[in-house]
Amino acid sequence: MSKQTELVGLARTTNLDEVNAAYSAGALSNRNLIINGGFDVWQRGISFVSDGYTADRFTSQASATIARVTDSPSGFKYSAKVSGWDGVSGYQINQRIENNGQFYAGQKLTISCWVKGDSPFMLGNLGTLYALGLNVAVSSSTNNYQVTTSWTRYAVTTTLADVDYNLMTSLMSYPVGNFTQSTMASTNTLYVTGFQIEVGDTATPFEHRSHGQELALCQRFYYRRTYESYAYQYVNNGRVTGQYGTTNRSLVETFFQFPVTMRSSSTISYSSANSFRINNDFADETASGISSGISSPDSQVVLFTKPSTNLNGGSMVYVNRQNLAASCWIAFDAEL
Amino acid sequence: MNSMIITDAKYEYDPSYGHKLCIKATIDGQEMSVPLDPANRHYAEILKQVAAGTLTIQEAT
Repeated sequence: MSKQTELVGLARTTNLDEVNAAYSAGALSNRNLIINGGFDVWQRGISFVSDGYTADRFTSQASATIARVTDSPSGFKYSAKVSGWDGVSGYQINQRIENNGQFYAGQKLTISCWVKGDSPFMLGNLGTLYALGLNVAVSSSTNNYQVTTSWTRYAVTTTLADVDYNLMTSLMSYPVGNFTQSTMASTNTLYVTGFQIEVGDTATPFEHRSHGQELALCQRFYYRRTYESYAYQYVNNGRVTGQYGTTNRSLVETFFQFPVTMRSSSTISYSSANSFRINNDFADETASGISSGISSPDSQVVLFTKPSTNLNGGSMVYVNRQNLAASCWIAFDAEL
Repeated sequence: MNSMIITDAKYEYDPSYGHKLCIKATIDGQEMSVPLDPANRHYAEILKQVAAGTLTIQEAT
């Protein structure tokens, strides 16, 4: 072996060692199947008491209060603080993972998260996975764990059960839940962050993605345009619907292009119609209605209506944030 | 997640071409416009409740 070949071999060995070391340290990207596991993105708001979606991609149940707080383990900016669940139904936070054919029977998945409580109590079942569409539990092992008053990382490896994953709509996962053997009381408070599910039997360090990456991943499922508190903020432009200006002279079509392709056509929700203002030919009027036009995963037509029928067909119109409106937003929801 | 509370469901039509565009409804207290896409979770729930006989979608007035 020449000296040159020997040196090249040594360099390759060194590079592989470095790659292996980087893998062990959790440097390889896109291994976390959970989106927003660090609770960094909260497009809907930062505090909730109702059931349903809260932090992006996460739902909460049992009438608990869930809020973004800065009490977090080293390396994390935020956690979700949960308190005041109703004490009747089981409490849980869950995330539904989109099924794109990545799951199969016998696959090993490792689930991990950081949790702490205001006092010691038991939680479970970290590792529980539920196949929606099939409506069966598909994890081989779950883990009840003792929450303490210090931030602690818990992890469990599970094997996916033998079911037809092509028929599964999404995989539901839980960083915290008070299922069997839980001693969590309705008066307890818990904090959770750093939720990760990865392929394999080892819990690698939590994968921190950039805020832009995490936001884009969230926006595949939910995209919210919020207009700030100053007056007459531009919302969108559009055109007056109708044929030759003879019909629908109160209806304005606006076009919203999404920043990322959404999972499906989206449901529209909004602050209130009267938080928007329609401006055309120096005539301003408060919107009286909003509804969905043609929709696709890439874009959406939104129809704004105003009370009077004095718009000119085909002409350009501007939609603004109403002056003094308490809030003004429009949201597109393609969640699972 | 618990099933949604859906009221005041009504079809909306394309103003130019007249075909059905969406369903306007109040879902869990929030007014929404739901596309007619079975992959959309709100539309899937509407179809489920209509099949169960607990929801009727009104025609536009």
